Amino acid sequence: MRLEAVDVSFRHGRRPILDSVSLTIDGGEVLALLGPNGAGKTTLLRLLAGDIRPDRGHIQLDGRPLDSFEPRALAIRRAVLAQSTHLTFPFTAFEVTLMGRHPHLAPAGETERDRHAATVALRRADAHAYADTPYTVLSGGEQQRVNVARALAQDAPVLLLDEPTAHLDPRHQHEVLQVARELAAEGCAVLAVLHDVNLAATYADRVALLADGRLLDQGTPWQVLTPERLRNVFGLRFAVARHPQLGVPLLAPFIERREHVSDDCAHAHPA
Amino acid sequence: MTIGVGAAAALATPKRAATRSAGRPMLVSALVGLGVVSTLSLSFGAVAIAPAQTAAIVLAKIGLALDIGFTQQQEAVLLAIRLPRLVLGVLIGAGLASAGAALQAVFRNPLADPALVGVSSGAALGAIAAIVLGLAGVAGPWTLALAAFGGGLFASLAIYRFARRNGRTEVTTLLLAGLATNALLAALSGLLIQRASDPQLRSIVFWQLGSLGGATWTSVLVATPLLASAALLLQRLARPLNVLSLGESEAAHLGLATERLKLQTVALAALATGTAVALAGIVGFVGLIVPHLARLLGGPDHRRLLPLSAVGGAFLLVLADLGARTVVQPAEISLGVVTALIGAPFFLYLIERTRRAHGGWG
Repeated sequence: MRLEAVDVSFRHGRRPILDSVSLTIDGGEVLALLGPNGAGKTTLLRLLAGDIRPDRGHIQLDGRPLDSFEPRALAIRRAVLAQSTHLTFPFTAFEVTLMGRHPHLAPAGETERDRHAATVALRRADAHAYADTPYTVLSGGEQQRVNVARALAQDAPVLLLDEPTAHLDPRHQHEVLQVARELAAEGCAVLAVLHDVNLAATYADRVALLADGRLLDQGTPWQVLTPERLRNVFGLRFAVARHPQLGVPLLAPFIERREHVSDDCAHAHPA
Repeated sequence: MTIGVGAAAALATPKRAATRSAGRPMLVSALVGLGVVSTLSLSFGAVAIAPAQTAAIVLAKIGLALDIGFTQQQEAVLLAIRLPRLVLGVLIGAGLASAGAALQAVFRNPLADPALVGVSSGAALGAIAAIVLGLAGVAGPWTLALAAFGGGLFASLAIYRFARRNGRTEVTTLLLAGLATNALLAALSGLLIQRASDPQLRSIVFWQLGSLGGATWTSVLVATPLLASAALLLQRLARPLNVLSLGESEAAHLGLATERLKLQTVALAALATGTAVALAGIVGFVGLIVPHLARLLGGPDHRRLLPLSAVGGAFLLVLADLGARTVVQPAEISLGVVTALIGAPFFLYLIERTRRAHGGWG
């Protein structure tokens, strides 16, 4: 499996969002897409998902143009996890997960196999405890885990995850990305938009840095997540060390202490 | 609805199977209720007809004589008035409630209703235009149904397009656009009404208040293919409508052709509502409250919700019609008045409930 964006550009009205971005995601790897707010990460993900079409350039899945796939054929090949999914009607977590089987369903409806796949996916996303609870009453983090389960139930070899760790507590952030790693080990191609550089450093095979609609760099975490580049992209300084157990970059952001503090608070509380 | 937060995961699959079948007793109860209210509806009225006599009359008609006496007047009233009225009520109730349930799914909003999204006022304008402009001869008994259907489809699509931006349907915009469009359509209807002659006026007032009083076997013949096919075709959309509940882009990611599904649904809802309005006038709130109640009783899965709504809508309409023609006997209250008397307070309750649950619409 290989999903690639070839020299894609996209504008929203007159505003350029993406400018000549080329990116490849191969089966067997987790690619983390990092960048500040408004860099164009979600737009790139939506282009790769086939939601929108690029103004220039093209997207290919296994060498075939993305828009040559029937919707269902595409859904069998790639799953998308949105930042958040809002439901109006109180479907249970299990029902929502089972919807992930939609592209696989036989004309007669879901079989025991689909129900089994949904159950397994719920367990893998650690959402099985509330399988029978209406999605609408779950917390944001619980909802996100149900959506992860739904994406897993879709059983697609390409996964596009838009901030899969949003709303999750630290343990579940790591568990979701651990599942992404396992899927990559099984041969899936996984793209994850992330904000946490340490999660990217820990779980991604490759990291792509996006800023102002341009792809600045891509490569292994050690190649890309350097203090200089991160400072350029995020406008924030980072201290880098080697993780004592994992050997991946360990990144601590900081803002340098300013010498002269001259606001009113400083007067009110003299040192 | 089973809510087992701490339930063991291993039980998830069998438990779902148990919950799934919980919808069936609900449907059976609704069918029994419809049977009871239908029997009552055939019996009560200016001329009383006992259920046994009803059976005797119907069986005599197909050549089976029972040893139960009935008068010729009873036979005439049952066969020419009450039976077509009952059948039309069942069809219209089922059609309106199915249309409401499907529109709520498409708009992902439990407050969507054929009236709110302009289908009813568009259909009324179509029907009024057909009456006033004297188009009745164009397609015989089908003319009004077709004109109402066209008006309903046009109005709902116009509102729908207006409320969509960047692939999303904005609910508040939708409701506001529906309000404005309803007012505009009512004004256009008003313009036509001013040009109407007295007999035309009487027909128009009939449309606006809603009534099954005009039911004949001809109207049943017109209604059956249109309403039954709309309701049945909507049932076939149940599974895709479930997936659409996730949101449009999510549904598209799952391989659903969302634009086509939405168009199909709106067109079928307009067909059902347009036909209903053409034959019985504006009967409000059935499409709003029945799906909502069905969802509370049988869950949100449209494979259960749509049949339950159809039967529930038929039940409510037959009951409302029974009330409309018996409460102030021998006079008759308009059907639309009865459903609005029930529906409007329930609508207020829905608003209050939503406000408490989600903090309103901002």
